[in-house]
Amino acid sequence: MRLTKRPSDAEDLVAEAVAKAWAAFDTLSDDARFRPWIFRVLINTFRSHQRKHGREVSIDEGADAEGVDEFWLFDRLCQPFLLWWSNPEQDFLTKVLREDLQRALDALPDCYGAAIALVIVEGCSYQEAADILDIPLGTIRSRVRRGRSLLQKALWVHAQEAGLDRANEEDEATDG
Amino acid sequence: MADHETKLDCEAVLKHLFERLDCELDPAKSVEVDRHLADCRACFSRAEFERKLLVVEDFDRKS
Repeated sequence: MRLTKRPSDAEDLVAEAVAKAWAAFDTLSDDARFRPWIFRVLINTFRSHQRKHGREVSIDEGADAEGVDEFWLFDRLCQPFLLWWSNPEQDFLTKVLREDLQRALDALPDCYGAAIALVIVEGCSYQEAADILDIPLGTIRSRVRRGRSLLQKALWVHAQEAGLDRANEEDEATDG
Repeated sequence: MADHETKLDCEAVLKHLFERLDCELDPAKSVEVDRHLADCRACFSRAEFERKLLVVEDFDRKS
C-alpha cells in the first residue's frame, strides 16, 4: 500500500509478486533468507509495473544528501529554559497518535518511505534493506536517517497545526 | 568521567545515535556511545526520546 497508494493496486501487486515468488521458489537457497527474498520479489515487481506504465521508479528517485537540513523534534521540544519545569518531549509522545505517524509515513517521498518501512516497520537490518532495494549500504543508511528527519518534521508541522505544541508556545510567551 | 581516549562528544553521539538504536553500530562504537549516554544527561534524554519515538514509529509491527 505504501508503494502503490491504492488498495486495489496493492492487492494486484502482491498477487503478482506471490505468483512470481512461487515460480522461483527453488532459487531460494536459505529458508532463513525468505523475508528479504520475498520483499525483493515484491519491490522488483513494483519496479516492473512502474516501468511498464512509463513511470519513473519512485523508490529509486531522490537525493541522498547526508546531514543536509536535518530536523529533529527533540531540538524543537527541548529548549533549555523549558526543561526546568516541564517534560515537553514526554508530553509530545503522549499526544502524538498512531494515525499521525501513519499519515506522516505515507507522505514521505517513496525512496525514504521504502527505507523507513523496511528498517523501522519491518525490522530489516540495513544490509537486508540495501539488498532488497538493490542500493549500496551507505545509501540505505543515509535514506533511513533522512527519512527519519523528514518524518519528524512532518510530525512537528502536524503538531503545530493541531495545536499539540500550544503548551510550549504559551510557556515561551510567558518567558518572553 | 569516561577516559579521554574513547570519549565521544555530544555531536559525535548524535551522529551515531540512530544507528545505535537500530543495532547497526559495531560493538566497540556501541560501547563508546553507551558510555557517553551514561555520563551525559542531555544526550541520555535525547536517546530516550528517540527510542520511545522509534517504538511509536514501529506501529505496524507492534499492532
